Amino acid sequence: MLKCQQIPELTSALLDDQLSFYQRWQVKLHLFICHRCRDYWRALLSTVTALGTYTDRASEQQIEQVVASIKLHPSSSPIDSKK
Amino acid sequence: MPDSILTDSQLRELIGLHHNTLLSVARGIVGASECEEVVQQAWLQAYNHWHQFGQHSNVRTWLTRIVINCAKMQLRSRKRETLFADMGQDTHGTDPLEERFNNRQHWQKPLTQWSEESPEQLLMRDQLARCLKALLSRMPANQRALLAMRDHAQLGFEEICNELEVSASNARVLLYRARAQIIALADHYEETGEC
Repeated sequence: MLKCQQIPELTSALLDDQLSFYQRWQVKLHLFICHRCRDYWRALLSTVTALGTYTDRASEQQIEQVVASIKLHPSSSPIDSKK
Repeated sequence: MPDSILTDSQLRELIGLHHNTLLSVARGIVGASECEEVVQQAWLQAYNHWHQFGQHSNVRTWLTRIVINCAKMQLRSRKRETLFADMGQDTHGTDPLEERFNNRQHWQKPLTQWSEESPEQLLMRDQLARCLKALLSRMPANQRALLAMRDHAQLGFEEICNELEVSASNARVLLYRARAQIIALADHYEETGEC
């Protein structure tokens, strides 16, 4: 029987499809009987879903730097300045 | 999007949305001193090959693959081994959730019940978003890069291990540590309203 302390690492691996059939079965059984680990599993799913849309927006200065280097590079096609 | 040519405003929007994630990916592979140069090269390639993006599933995934390729080319041009693999041994730090369990390995400080907001709303709350940004900037470069590739850019786990030549067991530990730190941060915020 799995201990609660094993569940955070195993559920992370479950998301990445890194568990054997038997390990998956053990984790699912544990989640079925342990509400605290189910809370953790829900929090993990929410967090990973949120990270998929998380944006640490670049500053205007960073954007200007990248655009300038593209414009200056001889291999770059001309930028269409249409808005 | 995709038209065959990026307009100036589309390009700026893409850079705004993805540049910092791409820097995190590059930093994990080539290190802090060369990551800017690698991402700059990647933007140039992405701009020149925008017509190839077509109907690919996710622009961040596409851009991340370009960054990984540019970073690997940079390593080859410098005749360096993969920096990420060198850092692969860094898997024996402390478990971010260790203090939440008693010596019988049961929860002594379980997570609080999170509110029923959508996940996007959860991490976009201003204060939590600022704390998350600070946490991500403190993470070891290899943890941060794996998190960016897997959870921000949604590359496959095995694809990441193959590209970076990192073992699945190392990648598992690093990803777990990164995710667990974020969950601990969000949980503390849920409980106290601050972080």
